Amino acid sequence: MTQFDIEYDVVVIGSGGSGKSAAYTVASESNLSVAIFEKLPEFGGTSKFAEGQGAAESIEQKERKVPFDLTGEGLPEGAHFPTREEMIQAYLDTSHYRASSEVVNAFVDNSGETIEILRNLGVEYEYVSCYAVGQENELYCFHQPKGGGDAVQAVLQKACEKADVDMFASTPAKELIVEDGKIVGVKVNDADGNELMVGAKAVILATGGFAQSPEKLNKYTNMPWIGDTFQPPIPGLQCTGDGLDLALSVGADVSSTVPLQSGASTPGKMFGAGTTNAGLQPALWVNSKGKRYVNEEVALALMNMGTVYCQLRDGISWTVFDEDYLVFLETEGSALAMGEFLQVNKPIRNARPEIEENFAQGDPTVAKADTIAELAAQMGVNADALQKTVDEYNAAADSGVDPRFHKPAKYIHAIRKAPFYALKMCPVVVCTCGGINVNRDMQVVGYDEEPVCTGNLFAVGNDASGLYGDAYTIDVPGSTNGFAHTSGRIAARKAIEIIKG
Amino acid sequence: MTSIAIFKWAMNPHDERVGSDGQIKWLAERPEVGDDDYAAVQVARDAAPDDELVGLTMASGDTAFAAARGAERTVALQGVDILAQPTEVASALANAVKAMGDVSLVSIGDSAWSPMVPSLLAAQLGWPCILAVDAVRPEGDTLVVTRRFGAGTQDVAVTGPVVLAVAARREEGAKPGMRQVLQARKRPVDTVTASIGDVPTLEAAGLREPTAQASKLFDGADPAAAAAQLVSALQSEGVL
Ligand SMILES: Cc1cc2nc3c(=O)[nH]c(=O)nc-3n(C[C@H](O)[C@H](O)[C@H](O)COP(=O)(O)OP(=O)(O)OC[C@H]3O[C@@H](n4cnc5c(N)ncnc54)[C@H](O)[C@@H]3O)c2cc1C
Repeated sequence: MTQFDIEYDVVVIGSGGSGKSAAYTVASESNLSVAIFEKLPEFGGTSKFAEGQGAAESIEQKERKVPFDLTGEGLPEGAHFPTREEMIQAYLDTSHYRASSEVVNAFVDNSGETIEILRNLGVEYEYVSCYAVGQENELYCFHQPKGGGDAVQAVLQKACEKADVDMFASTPAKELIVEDGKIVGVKVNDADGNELMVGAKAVILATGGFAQSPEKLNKYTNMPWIGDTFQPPIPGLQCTGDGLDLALSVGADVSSTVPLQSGASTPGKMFGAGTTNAGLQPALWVNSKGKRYVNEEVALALMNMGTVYCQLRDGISWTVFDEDYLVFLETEGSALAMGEFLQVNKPIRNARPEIEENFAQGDPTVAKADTIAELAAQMGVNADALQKTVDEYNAAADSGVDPRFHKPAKYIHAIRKAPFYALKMCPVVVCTCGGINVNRDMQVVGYDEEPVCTGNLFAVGNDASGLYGDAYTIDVPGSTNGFAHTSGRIAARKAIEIIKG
Repeated sequence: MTSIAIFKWAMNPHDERVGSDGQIKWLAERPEVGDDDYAAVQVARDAAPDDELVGLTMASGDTAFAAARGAERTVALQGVDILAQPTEVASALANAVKAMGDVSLVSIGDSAWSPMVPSLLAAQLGWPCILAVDAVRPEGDTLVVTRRFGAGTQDVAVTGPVVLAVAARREEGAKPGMRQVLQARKRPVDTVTASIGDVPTLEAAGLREPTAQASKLFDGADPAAAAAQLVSALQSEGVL
């Protein structure tokens, strides 16, 4: 029998939205004891940076009746808040039925309650709409909280403190303790490096996936190069797949391919930077060979755009345009919307100053030249190939027909007026979406689809598989964040039920 | 002799939410650890390394904060309304200090959350109070207190019991690890009912909306001039 330093009924590993939601549920809906262990010195995980939650038939949607018009130009015909059935179908259709119907239904059916709980705790919602205006089939299920993810996590943190959840920062979980085939606790290391044995009747893995582990990105996604080409959206995150390792150590089944929530930015810069804002536009995109490789209109469908960038084996793409197009961005504005970072048809004012400044500093991610040949030299791509690509592109601009990729004429701007610009772009892995297979109660299952360890091990949030197929190309904005909070609560309720018998 | 470090005694105003409908909602329902609390414990320990160190709090829940930082025991005061007036909070704390007997020093965060309490506490005890304390060192029977003074610091020598209102300069460096916290939870905690004397209370005579800060746009046509204007504006606001 293991000697424990302390015992809890429920132990939650990870303090993001999913972990806090789980712990808060245990503490507020039962008299069971619960603790959260967090690896970093701060609580909140990637959830602090998320923008909003996806949900169907929420109290906010019921009260508001119609979606908020993000463009100010009127909602498209038929725009409406989705029913649960519509949201469920969106997951199943876009995943080609590779999503788990159990997990999808469990999430969607409980997603509205998440909004109500967060609202009752003090979260205020600014609007409910879609996220990326240009993504045609997107559902109007994105709930934008005032203050974003940071505010939501602050509210949940308070709620956990108020409900006496024991929370330890700088205390990573290292190992599951198993006796007679049942999880009985967790080994953790405290901030001073001491190993502590923590007893638990149920353990909830909420470690946020593995977006910061290049090895796991290569191994568990269908892009075995992405671990070498991606950049993180924010420095300092530590989602390295610890939950996945812990689950694997007790025989969990792992998804064959884990999808990525991804995007693109100029290397070393964040979403919202002027160079990123301009580089994301559907101008001419060329690969490191100087060749066009996609219909750049995909920029409007953000999640697909991330997938496109992730496919580049060397992770290099350049967005090429001329002086006229830069003026167009400054006056007519962005073709795409990206939450708080970019608004459709709103002038991009930070592009030119940042391009000029970075270029003057010799930043190799920004090229500017009076000839295409010189531009190619700065980019390190073959000059003839780039010239040929630009010539073809200009012909498409003149004829209004893009025989190569069928991009609509309104997005094809000729590249003729010097100076010419090229912005280097690279894939950004925002988070991984799953890995550990679970059932509808978020219990970790084995290959036989039965819960492992007599059912007292759970995986939630980014750790849990089930919502997606092999890509996050879905039309349900706020999916991962809505799922994080909702799956945490579902797991907690099952843990309470199991412990109380 | 006993030194007392007061912690978790003020409500965090950031927990006060004013909704779009004007309704006020508190996210917390008890005082929480303030930014200065760890420094208050440190100062009490440095002032009298050989004396007994007692933590005094007005919070419920986890009361091991001072114990995890060296306090031998903790006294938890119960029964003070979370929105009690500063005079009442100071009275409750002063009476708890008096009840402990032979106390040589009380240290408390120089809290921006409830700035009147440290001085009111000293007044109720009839002791001197030093505000904006950075650090202390004992020298024989005297305590040399370093406090912020203008742009620099000043050393003040005091003898006899004193209230030190401590202002932390930075976040706590190394927080106690879990093992230390678990051990601290085993130290004694006396829960006592607060006694609030007959103290004057303040009455709000009126409310004033915060004056809206007009934002100022600098014309960026000449970046150097705009930057100079910004620097000068920040200087005149006391930011730089
Ligand atoms: C910049 C950014 C923006 C995003 N925007 C959105 C958005 O708008 N909408 C959306 O749906 N999703 C968004 N996401 C995705 C986001 O990751 C999810 O929405 C969700 O918040 C994940 O919650 P989680 O609890 O699973 O993970 P996290 O919030 O990341 O929490 C996991 C925690 O576990 C900790 N941990 C890891 N290993 C251990 C260990 N061994 N022991 C203890 N603790 C450990 C981590 O340090 C972390 O704090 C965004 C992500 C990022 C990074």
